[in-house]
Amino acid sequence: MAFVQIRAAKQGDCGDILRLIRELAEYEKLSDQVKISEEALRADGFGENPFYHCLVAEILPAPGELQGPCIVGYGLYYFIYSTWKGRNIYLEDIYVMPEYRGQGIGSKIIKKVAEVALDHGCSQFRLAVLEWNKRAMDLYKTLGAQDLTQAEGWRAFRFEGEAMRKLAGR
Amino acid sequence: MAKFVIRPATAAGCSDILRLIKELAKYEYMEDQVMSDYRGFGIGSEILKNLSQVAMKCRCSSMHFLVAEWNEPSINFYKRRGASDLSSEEGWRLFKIDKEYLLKMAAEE
Repeated sequence: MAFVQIRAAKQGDCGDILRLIRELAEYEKLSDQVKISEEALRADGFGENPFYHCLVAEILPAPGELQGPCIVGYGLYYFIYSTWKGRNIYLEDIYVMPEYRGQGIGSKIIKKVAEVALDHGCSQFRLAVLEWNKRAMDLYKTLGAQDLTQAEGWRAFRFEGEAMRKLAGR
Repeated sequence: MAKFVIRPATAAGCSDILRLIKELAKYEYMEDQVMSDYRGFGIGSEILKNLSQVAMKCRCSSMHFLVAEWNEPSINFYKRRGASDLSSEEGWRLFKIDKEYLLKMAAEE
């Protein structure tokens, strides 16, 4: 029987991570927003000052099984800062391929992120969910998450592209 | 009105930063009771401009931040400058998991 391990991503995993990033964007119905390249993922995640950290869920074949290990999910996060609470983590992406859902892999990834958060002295971690993604919201709430948008009225805003360039005076 | 300068903070500035963090928290919960003598002079715009320049210099493709839904002056300030409200437009909700639940998860086996 195959075994799932959650481990830190390596540079060589970037091709798989990009594949899963695209699958997640597709699931979120926001595919056209993915502009990242494998080179950027490698440079930004595995250089001297990484912009993100990534965990991958890898299926290790049982002894005797012919196929090699295979990456079926990931959790990508980075450190942020709360001026109220201090060190914090933002879980940017968490995704498990459809055929591997329902086995607790998502929970395992989240638990690993929780351990990382505690190891680094973080008092909390945050993530964003689409309001129609009931299955994800239920999972996070089961693990103790609270909906800050609903409870406190926080909205996510963004400056990008032309608007950001204008702000910078370019 | 005296001239103002926007510059990177130094370690010595932390007590001022903490004072302002507390003022902002107070504003976010008791808006009408916090007066400010320094609004309306373009200081906020200048800070935002500085931040955008940092973003461009570091090859960032966007800036993300949170705004409270009742904070109309801030919402207008950002929207006038071309910001998108992703919660309204795409349906994103912010969730948090606090330390007590992180500890619970880490303790499970």
